Amino acid sequence: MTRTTENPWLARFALATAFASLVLICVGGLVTSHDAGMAVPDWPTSYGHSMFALPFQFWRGGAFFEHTHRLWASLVGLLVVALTRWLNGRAARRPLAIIGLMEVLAGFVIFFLWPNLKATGHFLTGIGGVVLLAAWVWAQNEPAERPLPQLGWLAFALVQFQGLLGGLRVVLFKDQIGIFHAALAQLFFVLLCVIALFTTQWWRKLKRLFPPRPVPRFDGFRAGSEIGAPKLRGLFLAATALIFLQLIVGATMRHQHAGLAIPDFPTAYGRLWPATDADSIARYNQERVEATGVNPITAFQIVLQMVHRVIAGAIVCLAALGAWLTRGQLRWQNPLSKISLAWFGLIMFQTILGAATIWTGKSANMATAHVACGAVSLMTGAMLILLSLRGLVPVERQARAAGEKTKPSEFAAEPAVVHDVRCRL
Amino acid sequence: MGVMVNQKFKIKNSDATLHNVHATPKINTEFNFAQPVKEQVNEKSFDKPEVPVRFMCNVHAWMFAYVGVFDHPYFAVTDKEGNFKISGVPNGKYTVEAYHVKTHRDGPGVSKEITVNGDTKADFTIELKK
Ligand SMILES: [Cu+2]
Repeated sequence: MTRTTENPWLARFALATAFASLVLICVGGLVTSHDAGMAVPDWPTSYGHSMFALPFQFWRGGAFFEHTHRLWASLVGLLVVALTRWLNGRAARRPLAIIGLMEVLAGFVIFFLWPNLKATGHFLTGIGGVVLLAAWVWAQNEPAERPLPQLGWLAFALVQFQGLLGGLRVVLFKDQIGIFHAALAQLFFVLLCVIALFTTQWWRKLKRLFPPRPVPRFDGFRAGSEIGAPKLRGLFLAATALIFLQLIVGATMRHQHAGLAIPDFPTAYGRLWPATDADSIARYNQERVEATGVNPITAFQIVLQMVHRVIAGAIVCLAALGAWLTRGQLRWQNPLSKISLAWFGLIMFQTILGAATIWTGKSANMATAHVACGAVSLMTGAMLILLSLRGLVPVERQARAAGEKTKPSEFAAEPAVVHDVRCRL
Repeated sequence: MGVMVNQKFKIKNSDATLHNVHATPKINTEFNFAQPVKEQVNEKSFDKPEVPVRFMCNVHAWMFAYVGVFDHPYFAVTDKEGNFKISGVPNGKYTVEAYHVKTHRDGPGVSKEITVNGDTKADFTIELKK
């Protein structure tokens, strides 16, 4: 049951954990969309109550989102600790026991020595208790194949760091921490998806297939117009990096708490590029219809939104190019072509969500859907990079590798090779 | 509302529901606390002059308020028609400044030099720039 090889339950559990972290991104997105990050002023307690025993009458308005975010985050933390324990097997018991004990002790020390950091002490003690519990669980399975145990530890460290960041954002009044917290959340989600991918049978089969059987060079199909495997990989990498940059820009916009810096799309204040001189900004601020009296907008915020629009255009182009080239080189049947096309569709959908965020006057649900779709886009980009690293090998190198050690392939199907790229998916 | 530097003022929850009181000053120290109980009263003060300090409630995104913090006692908030009165001002030369949050934001308001000699009248126009 707890074995780490050929265990569909491990893959399912990893997938469920990844999904829980996507839900957490949604709830966290709702917190920021509703400007509710500060609705519960204390942490890790909620209105002085233990987080897990907050009377229902306080789950109102902004506090509902913030408190749900904390509870769901605790669940994700629990799942990740369990996943780390599972991936590392019995080898994890001792490190977990040591870490848990140290956290409990550090928590107590902070609690008594630095009263103004009491909340952090509280948090450390609580999380240390969970870690100790994971060490105590009597499961003696072997560790999973590399690099899964290492990735497990990374997720283990990240989830605790994220929890701490989220709490410090509240008690230290720092919007900047919120930006970092949001960006790191997306990377954390990608990491969990990578773990889930690595635990699947599909990925293991891909790994076993290396090195592949020799592939005849195929020159007849649109020779000369193709790009090689490294270039296709580079394209996925560039587009995914750009998506990450884009989400940092997006998080910065969201954590300004200033509403929409530019209220119209595709125009910007009725023009192609908005004016950013002091007089125009003053006029824009006058024209803003706002009930909540949020912070005034600045030239920086206007430029930021324009940059967000420009990067969006670049990502759409790269994703379209990626889908087109993948299809041209690998044909439709290839999973890489399908995923690449789905990616392009996802990014088009994301563009529409972004536009709709503006058209709805930054409706909380629309803005949050935009955040969630961004996370899925980033994750799909990361999957494409991994799959193309694993599955796309230039023919020459492939042939060389195969010449050294030829192994009967499990793939009897037509090799999906065109020009100098072959996909082993 | 206007208060003086280091003057204590009361924040009261008159509702049977929870609010958080979140002050977001740029010069003074930010604070945020909860008022879960009806009739709960908390006392606070600011130690530096700042106009305006924005207060909000994150439980109810539409709730907000502004407080002006002054290092002198000569201030007033106008009524709906824009009338105001500042009493107890000794005779002398003064600069009166009128500020509206929507028009002046972070910047200074409109100001006018006046000489106070007994009852003195000062008129201002604040234009919403269009
Ligand atoms: Cu409220």
